[in-house]
Amino acid sequence: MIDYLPIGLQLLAAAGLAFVILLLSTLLGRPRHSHTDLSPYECGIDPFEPAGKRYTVRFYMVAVLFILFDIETAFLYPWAMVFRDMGMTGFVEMAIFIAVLLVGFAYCWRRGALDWD
Amino acid sequence: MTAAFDPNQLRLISPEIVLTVSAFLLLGLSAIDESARRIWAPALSLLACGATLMAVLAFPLRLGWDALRVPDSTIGFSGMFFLDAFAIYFKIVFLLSAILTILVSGRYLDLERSNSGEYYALVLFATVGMMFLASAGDFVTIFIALETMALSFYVLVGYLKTNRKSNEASLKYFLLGSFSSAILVYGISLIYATCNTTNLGLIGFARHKVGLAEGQEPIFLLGIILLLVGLAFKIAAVPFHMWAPDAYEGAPTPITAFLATGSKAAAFVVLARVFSFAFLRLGDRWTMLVVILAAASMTWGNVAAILQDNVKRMLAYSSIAHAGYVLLGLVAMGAGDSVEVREFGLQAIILYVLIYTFVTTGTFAMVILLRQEQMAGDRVADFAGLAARAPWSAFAMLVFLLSLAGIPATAGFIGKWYLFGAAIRAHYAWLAVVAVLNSAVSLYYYARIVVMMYMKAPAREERLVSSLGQQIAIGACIAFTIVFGIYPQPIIAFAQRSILALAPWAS
Amino acid sequence: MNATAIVFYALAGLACASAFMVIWSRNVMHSALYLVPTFLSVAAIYVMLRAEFVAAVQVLVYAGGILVLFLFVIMLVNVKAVQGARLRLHGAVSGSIGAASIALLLSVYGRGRILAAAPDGGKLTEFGGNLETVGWVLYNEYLLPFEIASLFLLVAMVGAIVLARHKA
Repeated sequence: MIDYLPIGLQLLAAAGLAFVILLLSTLLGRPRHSHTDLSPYECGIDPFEPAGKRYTVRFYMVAVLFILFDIETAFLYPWAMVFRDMGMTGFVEMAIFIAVLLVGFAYCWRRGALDWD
Repeated sequence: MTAAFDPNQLRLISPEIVLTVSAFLLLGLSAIDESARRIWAPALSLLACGATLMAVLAFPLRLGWDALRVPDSTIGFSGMFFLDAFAIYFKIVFLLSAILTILVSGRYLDLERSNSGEYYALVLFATVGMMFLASAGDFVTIFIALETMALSFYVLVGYLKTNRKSNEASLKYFLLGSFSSAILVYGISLIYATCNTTNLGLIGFARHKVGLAEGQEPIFLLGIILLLVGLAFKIAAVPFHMWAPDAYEGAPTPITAFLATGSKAAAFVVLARVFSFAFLRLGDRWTMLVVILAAASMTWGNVAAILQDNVKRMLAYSSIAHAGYVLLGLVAMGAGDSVEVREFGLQAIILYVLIYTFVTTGTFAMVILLRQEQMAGDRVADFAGLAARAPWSAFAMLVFLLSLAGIPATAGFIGKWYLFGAAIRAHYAWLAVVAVLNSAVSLYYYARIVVMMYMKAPAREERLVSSLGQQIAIGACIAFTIVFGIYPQPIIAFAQRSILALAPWAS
Repeated sequence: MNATAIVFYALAGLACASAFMVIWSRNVMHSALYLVPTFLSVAAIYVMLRAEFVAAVQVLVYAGGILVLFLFVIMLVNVKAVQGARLRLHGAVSGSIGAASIALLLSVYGRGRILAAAPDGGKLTEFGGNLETVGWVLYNEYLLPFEIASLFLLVAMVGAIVLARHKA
């Protein structure tokens, strides 16, 4: 358990640093918030619609495909630890797994899920 | 620890491999060839199901049913996969259900302008999931196969992308389905925490032979309850039925049929296998819960069905009620005081699932038949005057409805006879009385459609157009309902031969 | 209370508090972001249980992938901040059912006893770390579910494309 102490300390240090920076800038900086400061653009026209616009569904497609292949990768880590000892059997097992996902990959590609336009 | 995998085990899953590879082909072809898919996609998927059916039947033909009766010789993949007669029985049911679904799909999808190869590929993937479920001997296999099936269904329910009801149905089904899966897997984790294994047989062994460590019994029981709740969602038993009417109404009607038969049968496979392998001796602990689920589902399903004007919704509630009837078999498995009664309960469950598959698919096929170019055909009023317009179709619908209500000389009667008999043998006569009263209530709303068909003037005059696939499917369902209603011995014998070889610590 | 217990309760408290903020926050975007501390503290708890592989997957898949997906979906459907009263009859009823279920679960945990340590904990480390053990078990005993999982991922892929594709 003690092995993870450095990671914990690093997390604490990172969070602490961010906190300290925010604190210092609030304490040291002079508060000046004029109307121009808070407007989205200091010059030009005021925005006439909310900034939160609907995104295209393509972002969703990319994210879903990313997760699916991410999960596939997660399965590769334990396999990498044992594939030397498992020999051919292990290789074939993983080959089948990847082959099934390659079918999916080919389907995505062919169906244009990877095209942006 | 050495790699101990024996490639010969692949033979055990050969039907699943055939079906999976066919689904890959279907996917590939639908990605390459957009124009011709209308003809070959259903044809190829039917061919795939047929080939898979052959591969499934090859086991009993080659080895004989008796060799499949004792599970020891047919366990593979470190106890993950059971190829016993029970599994083969359900694989046949699933494949028949898939074939009927594919047969009635083509024309419906054409009318909805949604015909595509992916639809059939997803139907096949769902079937692969069900087939793995039928053989699953371990909670991990059960969970992953159940999710593969459910995920295919979430997509299929929302397949009519431009139809808002279909979108809504898919979303509701997805959300509630995910919650139920979470509850299910929570239950599995608690059972694993106490038994230290996910293998069904070993769980039964750990609980009944070795005994749990001190203080673990309550957690084990909580696991069983959560598991039961998760599966009750999947079979749409009251009070976990909320998703069913919306999902059934919004889904493309062939998928509604597949959902009501295949998916429900898959959940019953899991219930039967899990509760007989792992929890059978604990019957006194869980039977009461199943009794409540059964009584509530039968009563609420039938009462709510009376109020519906949409046929798909009405059949959804009727399907909830039927889940309640089937649970009587599980009650007999839990409360029976001898092995014979427990096996009788199990036999009643699997017999009813087979019968229900044909009868329900037939009923939904009639709703699909009413879907014409100018008509949605899913309101009760759309059946008005069907007897004058299409006498044979009206007769088929009449037979299916009588069978759903459990009138003698139809297959539905045989199924209910066995289920109610199982409840009586397990000393739950009052529950059987509730079931009989409910069947009487169900006659009321089934009769509404019959009155519409035979006593009202037709609202439309044009002929019903149907495809060859629809005719074959309806013909097969009607033949099954009548033939086995009058002469049920073959399917009774088939079910009897296929019940689980109960684990030795079960009696 | 020893050091492990203190760390555990700190992490569990953080996970619960930020999970609570997920459902309490009115801004959907904030709700999604409050998931990050939950995911990370649960990952840390997995590490404490010596389930390093699960912890790594938790960070990789949940904090990395699923959160991004949530944000994209929120931007896709463009949900405005939730309007109206927080607690209505509906919320009160479902809230009390939820609270009753949690009370039931906790009371069962109180009556029962879950083993303090993972039963094979000693053997795991001796054998050379958690990841290698996971590999051995996954690719031998659990081979079949593993291969079905690839099918599951494929169905998810096809399903996403079928539902989200806007071309015919």
